[in-house]
Amino acid sequence: MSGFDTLLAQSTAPRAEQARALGLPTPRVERWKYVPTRTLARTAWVAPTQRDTDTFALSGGQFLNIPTVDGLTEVQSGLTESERLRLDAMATAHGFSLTQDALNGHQLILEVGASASVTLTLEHLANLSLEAGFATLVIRVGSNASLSLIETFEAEAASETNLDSLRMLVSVARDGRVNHLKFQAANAGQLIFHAVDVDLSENAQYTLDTIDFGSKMARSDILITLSGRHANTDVRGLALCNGSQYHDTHLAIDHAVGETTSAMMFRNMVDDKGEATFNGRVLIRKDAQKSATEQSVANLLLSERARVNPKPELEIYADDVTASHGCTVGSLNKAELFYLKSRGIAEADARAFLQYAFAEEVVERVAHPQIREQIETRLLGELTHGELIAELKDALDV
Amino acid sequence: MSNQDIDQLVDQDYKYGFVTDIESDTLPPGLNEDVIREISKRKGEPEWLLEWRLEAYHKWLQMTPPDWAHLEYPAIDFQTMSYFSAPKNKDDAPKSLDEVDPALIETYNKLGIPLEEQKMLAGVAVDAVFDSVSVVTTFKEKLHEAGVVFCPLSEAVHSHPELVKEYLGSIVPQNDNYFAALNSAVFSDGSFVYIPKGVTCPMELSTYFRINQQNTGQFERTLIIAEDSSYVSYLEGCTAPQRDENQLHAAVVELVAMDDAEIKYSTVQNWFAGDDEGKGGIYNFVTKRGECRGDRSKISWTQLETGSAITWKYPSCVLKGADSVGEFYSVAVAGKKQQADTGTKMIHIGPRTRSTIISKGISTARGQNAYRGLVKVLPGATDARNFTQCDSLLIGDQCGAHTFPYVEAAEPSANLEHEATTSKVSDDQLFYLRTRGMSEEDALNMVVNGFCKDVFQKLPMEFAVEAEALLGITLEGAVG
Repeated sequence: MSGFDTLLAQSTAPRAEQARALGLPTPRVERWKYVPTRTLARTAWVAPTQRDTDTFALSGGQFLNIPTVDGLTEVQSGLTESERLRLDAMATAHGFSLTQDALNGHQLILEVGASASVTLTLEHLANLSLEAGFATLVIRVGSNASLSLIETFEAEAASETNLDSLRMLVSVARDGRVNHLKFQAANAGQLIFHAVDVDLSENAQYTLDTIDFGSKMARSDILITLSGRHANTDVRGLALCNGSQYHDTHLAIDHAVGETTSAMMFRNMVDDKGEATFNGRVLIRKDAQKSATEQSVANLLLSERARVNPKPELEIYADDVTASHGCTVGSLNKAELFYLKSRGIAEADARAFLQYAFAEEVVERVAHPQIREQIETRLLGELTHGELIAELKDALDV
Repeated sequence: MSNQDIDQLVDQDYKYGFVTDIESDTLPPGLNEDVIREISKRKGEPEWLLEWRLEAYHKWLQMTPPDWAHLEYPAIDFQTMSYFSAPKNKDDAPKSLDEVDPALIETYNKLGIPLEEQKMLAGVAVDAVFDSVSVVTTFKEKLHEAGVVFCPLSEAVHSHPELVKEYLGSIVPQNDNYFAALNSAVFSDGSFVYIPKGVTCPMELSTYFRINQQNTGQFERTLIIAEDSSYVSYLEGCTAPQRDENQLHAAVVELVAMDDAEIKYSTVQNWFAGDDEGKGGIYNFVTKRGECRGDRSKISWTQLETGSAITWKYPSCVLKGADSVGEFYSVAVAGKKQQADTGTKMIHIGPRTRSTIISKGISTARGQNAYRGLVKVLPGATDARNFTQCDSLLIGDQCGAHTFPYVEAAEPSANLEHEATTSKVSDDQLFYLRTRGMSEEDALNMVVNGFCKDVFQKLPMEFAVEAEALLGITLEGAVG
């Protein structure tokens, strides 16, 4: 039983029946161990409608205003064999991924031509109450091309329960690079399910900055496959959970060949009754010699009822590699608080200082200045005593 | 070192592989209610224990084997195994070593277990388990003086039924997991230790387990109770003879520490790992858990795991008492085609509870070594503290090292740290040692021993020596 039964019954998609039979994953499914499925299961989800806008946006499972810029083309000829296989693997993971597949609305394929340089900003519009929108975006980045992909979320809309699901396939050809920035400040009623599958050829690069502030719950499944030598990836994430928010990131990096590098840094700041889950899995395959990976995960627990479930995993089958991970859980450092207070800063301000510093480790590395500014403004708004920092920033003009 | 030398070293047979030929009183293979009734009858158990076994058996029937571990093995057919084996001459149990079956003594001598010397060393009392029934118990008087009870569990059922009844299954419930349920139904024997209030056990207690009978699964059950302000150090060491069919070992160990009590549990496990294809090795599915029930109590697990084809083992601490401490120090070696999925669980319940996890995994040949651990902090475990360090060493390009550390934190004042590294033995280090005139083998040994030092330091003296020697033997021929 799931809240998608009616929609699935109406669907003629090949996997609809299977999805209905399987239902939602239970906590016994390892990857869904901590996911609260209550809202998913109990909401009687309805088919989405689209809203009006004049920018490139995702609304109700449809991409609107597909941009026409130099170097970017919409491909009509369908998926390649390898894309189909990757999408199949994504679809068949569990009951919910089957649902995502069966109820998929728009499948958009975009191609960035060789040596082109494209910036793409996609806004996720909030869906109407009880609407569940599912879409798939396939991006091919040509050799030596560069794509800056920015995802933002409409925050102002009413906070009624709605669902936004996006599956993304990204293939980067030799020497190509993708800088992906996701700033999620969706409304408090939204459930967000994003799956990203990135494949990197030789010397290709993918960086991801993912900032999760909003939504009722947000789940990201990210798989990055380093399939060409010297491919590299750098993923940074910050999740802020207040109220009863749930943020969950499952990130997997597959070093399929040697001389590939990866790094990930995640910061979770959890307050009130919030809960954050982070699973970072690095796989170094047998022949992926001379690969290197490092992971750093830090979790800040700010209230009695806050929860975090971090799990950094390493699975290594090659011997000539360097792999490390570090993970911490704790509250604000008492010595640091004491120091700030001894310099005449009020306790509340001192706490805000330290929280800000914790988040800034990720935020300050966001390359896009305008979005970084938006993130900082929102961050200071989220902190209980962010005003002093805002004043200082203004005074120092930083 | 030439490839030929390496091949020669790799080809070495298991040095401790031999079977002592003693007639055994063994039940025919198969598992059903009648078998359990028969086991219980032969051991002369009271009615309540039989009921308890049957209850566990029925729970077991409802369960399915766990499949989440990073292990690959064919499904185990529980009907092809025999569930009871006892040396025949158990009725006239020996009072001293002279009365012991000379073949047994010979076995121990081959193993290098200095049972006779131990009397002179006077530091260690041995309740040696040969297959399923304890054969020899020494130093009983000295322990008796201190008020310490150290006897086979089957004996404690009669001599201290109230204690056994109270604590058996209280830490590891019958249906805790598939293998614990199986053990609860068919457990053969094991040690029972009771340390009264305020007593520091005058010697280190030691049991050598030994699997001997062909096709006999061994289902040890150990229960250690440390009353207020008591201390005990318990040593467990294992070796096993070579054979062709896989053997199942599903032990359960339960520890309880009351206020200010401390239990130190050390294991050296060197069961037969199977041949190069992993054939014939022991399947080791063990449930070990200690409960720090009292305030300021401490439970410390130290283990050296070099044997078994499959190791599935997570010695855990439930930290209930305020200020209680849990420790886990482990060296796990997976060579040949061995698979090890081992780690620990630290469950922080009481305030100011602390835990330390140091895990060193070494993978060689085609071995797969996984650390799987859980640090869980419940609300109310204020100022709980955990430090976890998992290091993996890879020797050769056919092996694997994996880390699966779970953390579940629900207490803001808790402070948890986890770090893990994976690397190979540094060529620079090996080269340096070679320039100082060491053989490649010795150089490797030195590097690996250095890698394991943090853990070996925690082993009792006699064990530390044995551990280093064992590690040396295990790594012979592993230079890549």
